Amino acid sequence: MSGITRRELLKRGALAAASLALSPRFVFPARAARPRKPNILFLNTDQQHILALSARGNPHLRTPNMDRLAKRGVTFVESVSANPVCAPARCCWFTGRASSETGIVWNTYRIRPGLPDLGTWLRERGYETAYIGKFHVPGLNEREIFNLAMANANVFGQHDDAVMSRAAEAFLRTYSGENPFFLSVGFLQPHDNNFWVFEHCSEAETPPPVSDDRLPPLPPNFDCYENEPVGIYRPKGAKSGRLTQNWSTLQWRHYIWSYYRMVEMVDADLGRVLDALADSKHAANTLLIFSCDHGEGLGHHRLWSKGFLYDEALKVPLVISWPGQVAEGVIDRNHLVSGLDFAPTVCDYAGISPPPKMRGYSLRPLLEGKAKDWREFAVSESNVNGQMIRTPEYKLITYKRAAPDQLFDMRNDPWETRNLVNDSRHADTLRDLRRLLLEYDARLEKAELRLANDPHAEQIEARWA
Amino acid sequence: MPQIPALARSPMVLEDLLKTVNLPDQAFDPNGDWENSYVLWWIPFASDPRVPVTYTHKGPYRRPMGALKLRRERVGDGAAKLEVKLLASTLDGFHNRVQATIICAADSLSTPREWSQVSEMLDRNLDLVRGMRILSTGRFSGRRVARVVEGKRHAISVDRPLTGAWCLFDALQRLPVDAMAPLRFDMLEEMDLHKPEQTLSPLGSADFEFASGSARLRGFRQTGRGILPYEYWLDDKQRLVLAVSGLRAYVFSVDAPQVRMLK
Repeated sequence: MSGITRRELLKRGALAAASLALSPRFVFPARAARPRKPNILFLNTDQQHILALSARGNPHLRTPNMDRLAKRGVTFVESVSANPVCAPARCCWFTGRASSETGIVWNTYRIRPGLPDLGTWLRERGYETAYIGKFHVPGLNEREIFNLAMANANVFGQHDDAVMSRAAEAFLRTYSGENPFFLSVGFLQPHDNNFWVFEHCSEAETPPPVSDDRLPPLPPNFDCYENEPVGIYRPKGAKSGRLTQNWSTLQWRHYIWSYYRMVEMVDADLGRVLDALADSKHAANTLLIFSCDHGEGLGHHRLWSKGFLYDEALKVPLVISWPGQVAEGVIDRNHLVSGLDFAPTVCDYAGISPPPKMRGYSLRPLLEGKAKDWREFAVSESNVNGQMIRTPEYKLITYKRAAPDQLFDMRNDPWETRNLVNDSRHADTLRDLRRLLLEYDARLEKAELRLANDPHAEQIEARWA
Repeated sequence: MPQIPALARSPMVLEDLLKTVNLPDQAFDPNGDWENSYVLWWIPFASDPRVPVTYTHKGPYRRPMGALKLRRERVGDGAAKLEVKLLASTLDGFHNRVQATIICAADSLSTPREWSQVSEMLDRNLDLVRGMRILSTGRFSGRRVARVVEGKRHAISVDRPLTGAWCLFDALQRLPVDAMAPLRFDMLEEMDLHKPEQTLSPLGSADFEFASGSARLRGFRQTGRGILPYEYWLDDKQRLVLAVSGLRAYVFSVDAPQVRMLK
C-alpha cells in the first residue's frame, strides 16, 4: 500500500468534485438573483448519531421533519464534529477555531479571553442576532453577545425543547426588523439518553416496554475490541463505562430504541420551527443550516455518549438549504467537512469577512457547485489528549499517553473494526498521516487551559475522576 | 413489599417525591365537570450510587418546572369542553404559557374535534417577550387535521383514531383499567406536534406512599413514536394523579406555587 501524497489527495479531491457535479441527482436550481443579505437560521440538535434519521435509510425511527430538510438541501455524509463533546464542539462553531485554541477542550473548561465570537461578529456587522435554547460555551454569556438570548441551562430536552421551539416559532412568525437575522436554535435532544443510562445502569435489567421484535438490532460493530486503547476516554474506560458493563444485548437494544424515540421527539419540535419559517415572509431569503454538536455511541463498539473519536461520536448530521440558491435533495458523499467550517460559511453567506485565523473553510463553493478542489484532510480533537486525522481513505486516531494509535481503512472498514496501525503494508500511510497531523497541529495557537468557574461541573469531574 | 407491576418504573422513580404529596380526598366523577391540576416536575433518576448526585433524583436537577391545569365541562351530547392552562418554565427564567380550549368527542379517546390555542413566551416577570404570542386553531374530521397558525393553513392526514395529549389525560379516567384491549391511535402533543402509532394498555396496580398515606393506584402505559413510555396512575375514584414519562412527571396538586401561577 502506497502512502498518500499531497498531489494524489488533491487529484482525488478534484475527481470527487467532478463526480459530484456530474451526478444526475446533483442538479442546481435555476438560481434566483441573490437578494439582500440572507437571514441565517441554525438549527442544531445534541448528540445525534449521523444515521439517526430516516432520510439516511434508518428504518427504526421516523423523522419526517429532518427528512424534509434533507429534500430541500445538501446533506453532507462525511461531516465531522471538531471535537465530539458538547461545549468544545459548540465553541468551535462559534469561533471557527480548534478547541485546543479556544481553551474549551472539555465541558469543564472556559473559553480563552478575547477570542472573537460569531454572535458579536454578526451583530456588529448589521445582523439581528438571537439565540434560543442550548448554548453551552463556558465563559461566553449569550445575553451579552446576542441581541436576544432565550437560552436554557443545558438540562433536559424532553422539557426544554418544546419550550424553545415555541420561542423560535414566535421569533420567526413575528420578526419584522429591517436587518437580516441570525437565529440559532439549540435543541437538547437526544442528549437525554445520558440520563436514560443513569436510570438503567443498575444490575437489575429493566424489561423493555415493547416486545423484542420491535427493538432495533445491535450495530454491526457492537463487539469489536481488538487492539483498542482502553481507558483513555470516559464512556468506555474505567469511569462511566462501568455503568453499562453488565448490560445484556437486550438492554443495549432497549437503549437504542429509547434513543430513537428521543430523536423523534426533537424531530417534532424541529418541525414546529420549520413550519414557522415556511409560513413567514422570511422563507425565501433564509439560509438554513441543520447540524449537531457531536454524535452518539449508540452501542457501536459497546459505547454510549461521546468524547471518543470513532465515527459514531465524531460524525454529525449536516444539511444546508436555501431555496433557489442551494441545490436540493443532494447527498454529498465525497467532501470532508467539519464543524470548523460553520463560522466561515455563515460569514461568507452574510457577505462579511470572517474573524481571523479560521481553521475551517466556507462550504459555499460546495453548495453552489463551484469547488475546484477541497481540503485534503480533516482534523478533530477530543479532550486534552486525543486527535483524529481523516482523509477520504484513511483515519488515524491518536490518544497521547495511551497506546496504541488506531489506523482504519475507511473505504473497506467503515465500522472501524480492524486497526491497521501495526500492519506494515500501511506503514507509509501511517507515516504520512502522522506528518500531516503534526504540521496541522504546529499551526495552531494553543490556549492556556482554565477550568470553568462552575462548582457544579467541578463536582462532576471529581466524581468521575 | 409493595406490589409493583413488572414494567412499572414510576413507583421507584417517584418514591421520595410522593412522600411530600397529599392525594386529594374530594369526590370525583370523570364523566362530570371537574378540574385537575398538576405540578410539572423534572425527575432525573439514577439507579446506581456511582452516578454523581447532581444527576440523581436526590440531586439539584429534580425540581418543579411548571404546572398544568385541565378543566372539563360537559357541553351536550356527551361532548365536553376541555380548558387547558400550561406553564412550562426554564432554569433561565423564561416561561411558555399555553392556553387552549378543546371540544372533545364523547368517545374513548376524547377525540379533539376543534380547538383554539394561544402560546406566549414570558420573561421572568411573566411579561410577554417581544410580542411573542402565537394564535392557532384546529379542526379534526375525516382523518384530517386542519390547523391555522397565525392565518397560515396546515393539514396532516392520520391513519388511526386521534387524540391530544391533554385529551388523553381526560379520556383515560373513564377507561376500564382492568380488562381493556390496547388502544391504538395517533396523538397531538400541545395540539400541534404529531406523534403517530401510539398504544395505550392497562398496566395493573401498584402501591404508592404519599404524605397522606399509602394508596393503591391503577395504571396505564403508553408507548409510541416520538415519546418515551408514559405511565399514568389513577386513584380509586378514577382521578388521574400521576403521569410519568422519562425525565418528566405530572403530579396532582391543587395548591402548589406553580399551580397558583396559572390563575
